[in-house]
Amino acid sequence: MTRRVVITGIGFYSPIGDNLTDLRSNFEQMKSGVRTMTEWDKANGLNARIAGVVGQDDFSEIPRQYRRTMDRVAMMCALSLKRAVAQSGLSTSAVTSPRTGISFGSAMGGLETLFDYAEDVSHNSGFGRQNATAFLRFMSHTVSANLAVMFGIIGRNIPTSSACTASAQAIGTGYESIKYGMSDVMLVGGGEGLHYVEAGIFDSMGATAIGYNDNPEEASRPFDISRSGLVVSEGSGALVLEEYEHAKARGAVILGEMVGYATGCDGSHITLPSERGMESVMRDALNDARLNSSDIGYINAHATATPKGDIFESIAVHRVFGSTTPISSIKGYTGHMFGGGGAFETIVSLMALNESFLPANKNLVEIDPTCAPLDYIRAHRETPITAVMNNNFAFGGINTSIILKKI
Amino acid sequence: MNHDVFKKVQAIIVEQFEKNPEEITLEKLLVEDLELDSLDMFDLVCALEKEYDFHFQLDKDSSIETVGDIVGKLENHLSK
Repeated sequence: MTRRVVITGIGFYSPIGDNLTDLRSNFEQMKSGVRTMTEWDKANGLNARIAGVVGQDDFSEIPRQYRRTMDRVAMMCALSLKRAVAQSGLSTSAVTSPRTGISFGSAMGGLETLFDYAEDVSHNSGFGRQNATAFLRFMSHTVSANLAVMFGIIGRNIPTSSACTASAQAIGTGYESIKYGMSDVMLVGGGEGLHYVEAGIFDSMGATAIGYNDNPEEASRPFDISRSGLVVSEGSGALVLEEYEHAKARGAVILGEMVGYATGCDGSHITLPSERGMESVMRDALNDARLNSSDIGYINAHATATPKGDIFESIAVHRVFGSTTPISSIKGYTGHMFGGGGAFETIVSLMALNESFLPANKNLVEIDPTCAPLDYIRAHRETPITAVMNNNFAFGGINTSIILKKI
Repeated sequence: MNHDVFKKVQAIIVEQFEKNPEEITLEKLLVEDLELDSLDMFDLVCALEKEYDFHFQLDKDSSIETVGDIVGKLENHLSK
């Protein structure tokens, strides 16, 4: 017998806000969080000097004993989770129960710390005078490890590190942990901290949007014919997942139910996505949710605005849903949060569900005719829906699909 | 006691561990009073070594218990 999984708390940081009111307002005004990065002037050879930035630099709310081993990514996730737990109303004893676990992820770990560490080792101090906390700030599982310590988690801790699906897989791991009885509560999510190295990596792969340094708000253009690549960004998302009866018994406010999840792999190419793999994971998630494609009222697309990725995704969606299910990618507003995208976009999907509000594709001026014919949302809609799907895809052909439903 | 050395050690502890300067006196025990754990002690040594180009052997020198012990150790180093 499987168990029902509900969401009882959320928290996030994004380039377009850290609360639902600001998010909705920015969606309504089609306002972007992408800006020109004058801070990156020192980076030689970098073409795309734009990014989605979180306007949060004060993390002193986190006690020093925890903060000392956290890079920016872990700090954003820590405060996101603190808000999510507060909203859930879970007691300290419930959070520290062996039946409560955690799963958080990021693409890069603490990239800023790693970069500074490598630079110091190479050019200054060598290995003789490196402090003890650097590795703990940049290791690949730094977020989940640090958050577990800060929140006193003694249940399962499953860090995820799969680039753009890291936090989506964390959510999926939490969902399965509860559904199949290993945990009653799972604290899940992930994030990414901004660093120009990340921009440089994708820049040199030819994957970033070039030519928008002076008009950054127009750079990220999912499904648009003139899209030229992604915009790097940062952010975090945290959710409290809880077994339905556990939440009901303590009188928790239930924000929505997670009814479906699937993850799968293309097994074909390290960067080139496969519409077959994407299609498969969407169908598997629908089967897990015991829903038909017609039950889904909104699809939050992964669509990062790379030339090929958006096409493959649209074809996969068309095969599963046909042409009538409303779809948008919010990366036109935020850029690509990498490891944080899955969690943040799941929260946006939850907002769509609860507020009957479907955000539009920003910067979609002319739909790429190579993309499959879908109901691309051009202006936001206020439409009651009962279920949403959030998709994320990553290098390595890793695919995830999450389905949420009104309870 | 070399006042400059004390001031420097005090400043490092204040900055590194977010303490108030008034808290940092020669008599203060690093672990019990200032609540520095093993990670903190390691990072303190790193900061001092960078500042003074000096090699602390903290694990082999159990006599370092207070702020004053650190100052004394550095004074010895500087007088050589």
